[in-house]
Amino acid sequence: MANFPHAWVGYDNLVMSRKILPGTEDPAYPLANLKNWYSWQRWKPGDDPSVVTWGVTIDCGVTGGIADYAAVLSHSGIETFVVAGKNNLSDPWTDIVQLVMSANAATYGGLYTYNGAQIYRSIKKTDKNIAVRFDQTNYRYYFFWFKGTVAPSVGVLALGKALDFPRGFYGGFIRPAWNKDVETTNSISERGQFLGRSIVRSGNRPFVITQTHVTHGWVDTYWQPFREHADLFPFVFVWEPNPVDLINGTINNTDVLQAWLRAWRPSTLKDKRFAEVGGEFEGAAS
Amino acid sequence: MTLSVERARSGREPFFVAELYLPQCQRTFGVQPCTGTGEPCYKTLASCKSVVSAYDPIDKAYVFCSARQQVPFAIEGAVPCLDSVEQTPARIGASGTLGQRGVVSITFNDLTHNDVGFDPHYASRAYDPLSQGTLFGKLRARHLYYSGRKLVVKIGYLTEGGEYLPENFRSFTYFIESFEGPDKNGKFKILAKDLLKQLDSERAQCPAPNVGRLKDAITSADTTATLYPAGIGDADYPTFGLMVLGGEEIVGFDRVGDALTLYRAQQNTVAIDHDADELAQVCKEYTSQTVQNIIYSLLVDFAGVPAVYINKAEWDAEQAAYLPRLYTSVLAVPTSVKTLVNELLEQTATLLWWDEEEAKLRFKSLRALSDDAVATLGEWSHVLRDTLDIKEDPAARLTQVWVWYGARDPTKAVDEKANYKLRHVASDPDAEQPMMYGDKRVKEIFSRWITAGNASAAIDLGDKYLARYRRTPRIASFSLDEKDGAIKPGDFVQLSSYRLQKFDGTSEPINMQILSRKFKKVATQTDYTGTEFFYLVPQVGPSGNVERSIIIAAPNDAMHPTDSQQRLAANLRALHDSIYADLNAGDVVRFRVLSGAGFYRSTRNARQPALHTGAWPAGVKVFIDLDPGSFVAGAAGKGAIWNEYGVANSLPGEDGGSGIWVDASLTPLTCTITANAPISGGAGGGASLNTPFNRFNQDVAVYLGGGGAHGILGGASEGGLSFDPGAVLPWPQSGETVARIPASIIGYNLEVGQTKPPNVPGTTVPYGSGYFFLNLYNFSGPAVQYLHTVSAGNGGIPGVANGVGGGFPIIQTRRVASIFDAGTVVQTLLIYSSGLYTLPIGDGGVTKQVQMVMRLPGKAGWAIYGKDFCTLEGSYAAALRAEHYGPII
Repeated sequence: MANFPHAWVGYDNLVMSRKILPGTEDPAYPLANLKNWYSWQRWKPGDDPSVVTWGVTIDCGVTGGIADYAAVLSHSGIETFVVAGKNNLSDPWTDIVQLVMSANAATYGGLYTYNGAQIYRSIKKTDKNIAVRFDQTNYRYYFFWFKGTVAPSVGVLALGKALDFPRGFYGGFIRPAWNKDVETTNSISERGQFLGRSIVRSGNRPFVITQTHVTHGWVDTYWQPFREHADLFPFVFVWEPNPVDLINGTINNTDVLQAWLRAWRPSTLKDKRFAEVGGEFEGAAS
Repeated sequence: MTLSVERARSGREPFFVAELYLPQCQRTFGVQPCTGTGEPCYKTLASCKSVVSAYDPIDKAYVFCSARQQVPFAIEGAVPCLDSVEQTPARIGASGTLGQRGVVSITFNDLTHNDVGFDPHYASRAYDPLSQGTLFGKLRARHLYYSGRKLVVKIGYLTEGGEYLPENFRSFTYFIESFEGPDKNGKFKILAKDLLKQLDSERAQCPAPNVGRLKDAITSADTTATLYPAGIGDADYPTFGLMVLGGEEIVGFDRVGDALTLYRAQQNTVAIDHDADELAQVCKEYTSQTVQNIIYSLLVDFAGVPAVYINKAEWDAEQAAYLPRLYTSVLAVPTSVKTLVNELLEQTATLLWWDEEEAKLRFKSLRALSDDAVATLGEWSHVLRDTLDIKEDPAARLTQVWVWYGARDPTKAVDEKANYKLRHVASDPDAEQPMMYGDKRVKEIFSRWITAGNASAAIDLGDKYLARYRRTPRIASFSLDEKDGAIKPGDFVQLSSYRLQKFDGTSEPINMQILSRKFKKVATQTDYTGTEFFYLVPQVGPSGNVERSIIIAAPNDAMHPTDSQQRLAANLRALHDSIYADLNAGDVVRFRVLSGAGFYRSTRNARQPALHTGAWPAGVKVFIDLDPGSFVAGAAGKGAIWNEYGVANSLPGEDGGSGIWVDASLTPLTCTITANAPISGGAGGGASLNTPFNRFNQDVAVYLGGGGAHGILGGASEGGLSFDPGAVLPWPQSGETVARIPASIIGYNLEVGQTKPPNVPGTTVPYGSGYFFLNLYNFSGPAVQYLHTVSAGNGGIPGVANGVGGGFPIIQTRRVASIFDAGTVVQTLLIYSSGLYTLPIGDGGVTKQVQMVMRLPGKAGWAIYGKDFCTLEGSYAAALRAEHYGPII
């Protein structure tokens, strides 16, 4: 059973790099909208009121696709979220992870399992980001199964390899959920009375990720692929300060961020073995 | 939650949505009638690969929204790339013009895009749209024909939970002027204007320009013509109407194919020769139309403004409540619709502006503040800190307003003063005194819409402008929080501030009309500009209703109309209906006749009065105020006729016509006449006479027509006919046939009853002119002769009030030595009935009995026929009789 005690990044996205098999889609919100990182460009299933579960199938090709995280950035209507995999079309699906979310954090519709074990429970809320980690798998076909009472809508669907940070972020780190960027404009009357306030929510303040004393090998093996991805695309950033919530995997509704690079910090060698890497990022937290 | 609640919520979250409506073809590529082949088009005209006739577009909305961290689900599909919304605000023309057009500038951040929702064939493209080009770069290439397309900007607030609820948003509608970009910074900009930009187009002209010409030259007398090029008639011309030939002569026409039947010299133009190839331009006529209907027609029919953007019912209601006047004009020269609408707004004191929120053209009259909701704005809870700025607008002040109206020739330039019959000057002479402003500020208004008979409109217009601008208005600019964002251009507000003070320093609120609005920070704070608004208390009649004032500024001849207004002027109801719209019970209609103006009837016509009140709906109160120096005079009676077929076929003198007929025959009428000037019934026609005379010692009968009554103001009365047998005949007998007067006998001064020349209104003459005849009786007798001059009855005269009946015949006998001797009057005999009369014919008591046969003179007309149905007031009230007035014996 895997444990994911630190912040992590999901960046490699098989949904975009591999083939999405034809499936249900609203012509105005086609599956093609899942082939980018635009959370505002959504997929919606076709209009079939008799169906209460909807899904998207990814074909990673004969070599399969390695994944240890899945994420949905911006959604509506998802009450149960299942990721399953298989290698042959004729095979039955094997559940990789299953989340059942509550509308009120008090009652739940069923078990939340990760390979049969209960996982963290979340509050269902429209537009919240979802991210989940699991043991690394390698299937040719992945299936995302969305269950709910209304047809779901999905902005970004991500599946692939995550980057685990070997060290946590503590002192000085700007926790995304605490640093949403809200610009205010106050209206004051000629005689000094408060007349109103407007706010503009423009995402999150930039935050800095630095990893000091990481090994050269870690940089080469894990950081550099992430860096190459982040040069071009956004990614999923998850920060979880409460280890109590990390018992059997991670789903986090308050510190899951769609983030993107603002500027890299110089990657510097500290000594023969260790290095320091980092960058400045911004994004939108749910 | 409603918008009013959400916009006042602290922590409200502004959010913007832009909907760009561009045409998209409905055809399926490659399926008939689309003939496109190969790489599919983008369903736009610019990319069309088919025959253009197959292109069948409908509007497709492309939706963009603010670049918020999360796009609300209710508008999913919107591209969150809207960067900013800026305005150059529309400005209402406070002086009755269209003002300035509003411009909105929307800036987008360009981005890569997978073309979903933008390219209907994205899935079949051979390229990856996400990695090829940018959203707006491709949009611009695909939509070359964007000009005038609709752009809707929605501005409002997300809920506290970040939800998009349509009811929390206001929509602002504009029309695309231009695209800019994508620029070097990756920005794409759309400039759009309000709907009235369509009036700027040179194509928006009324009447629509015609291209047909005269095929052949025509003379000033020709009544047919042919249009060319062949077929242009059916293609470009109505089947009848008015047209202007060669830019100078307006003609009526009926058209069949290219063939025209012409009715020459219409609308005060002169028939002239026209060369071949001269332009034949159709005129546009608006006759007795309410202003909102004229503007609607100009906008919809000639400027191409879609009717969906006009709430006609609202316009009609505004007109019914505040704009009852009717307007008339013939537009002979293609003129910019913008110019025409500006004229109408100026001359009817109305406002027209684009309400971008309602997506409607709003139409409003300048009127008293009491009829509008007035928001109160103060410095405590409305006006934002350090934003209030007040300054004077001296350029707007007026001391005189000149209204030129009653245009003669529609082909002349609208500002050609000589082309106007009338001018009203509204002035504030006190303001021009050195102790006050000490200068003259004149505004001249040239109205092709106000006819000569609609003086009250000109007077009312001048008074309205003077009322509003006789003081220097102040201009205030200030900012408000969006909680007060419901205030829009055209609204009235009452603004108070410690800076607006009375004599004693206490605060004095001022009334303002909002002229423009600009988003300082969209959906947060808004800049406003307003002008101080003065207006007179509306004129209220005794019933409490606003009076409909009709001013009579010129003489009106009910029998000799020179245009439709004068013809209608004989009937007050018809006059009202020609310049005012619907009437309702309780309305008050006041006719005021100015000095030098009045009503008369120049020719007798079957008892018709000079002024007929007409029938009015029950409950309407009619007032007729005659200013000193004005007049009402009935028609003069025609002189009595002696017909050549004898007495049975002869006619007595006619009675004069009534001055005013108060007509309560159909509906009860509440009418008050204030007579500070004479009201005169027409004078009666003079009596006629049949008398013998002696020619060459033979008795000959002569028939003398009575004198016509004295007419007034060009109203020449008509004398009775006279006849002379021209041959020796016995005493005339009843029914006897006599010959007409031969020309040779005119030398005997035998004439038809004399026609009286025009009188000057308001004056009297001592008697009506009669008809004179020289009777040489017994000329071959004694040396001393007695010469008899016989005159038929004089026509009556109009009195100071009332009228006078026609006169009786008079025989005057003079003793003369020859026919050239003036002689001495020895007898004057009044013939007041038919019979034998003894006349002296020689010294020594020689007499002869002469048979006189007379037809009676006419009576004077009623000054006021139906006097019992009206209330009579004024300085002449007591003198006015309520009966015919017979001839004075």
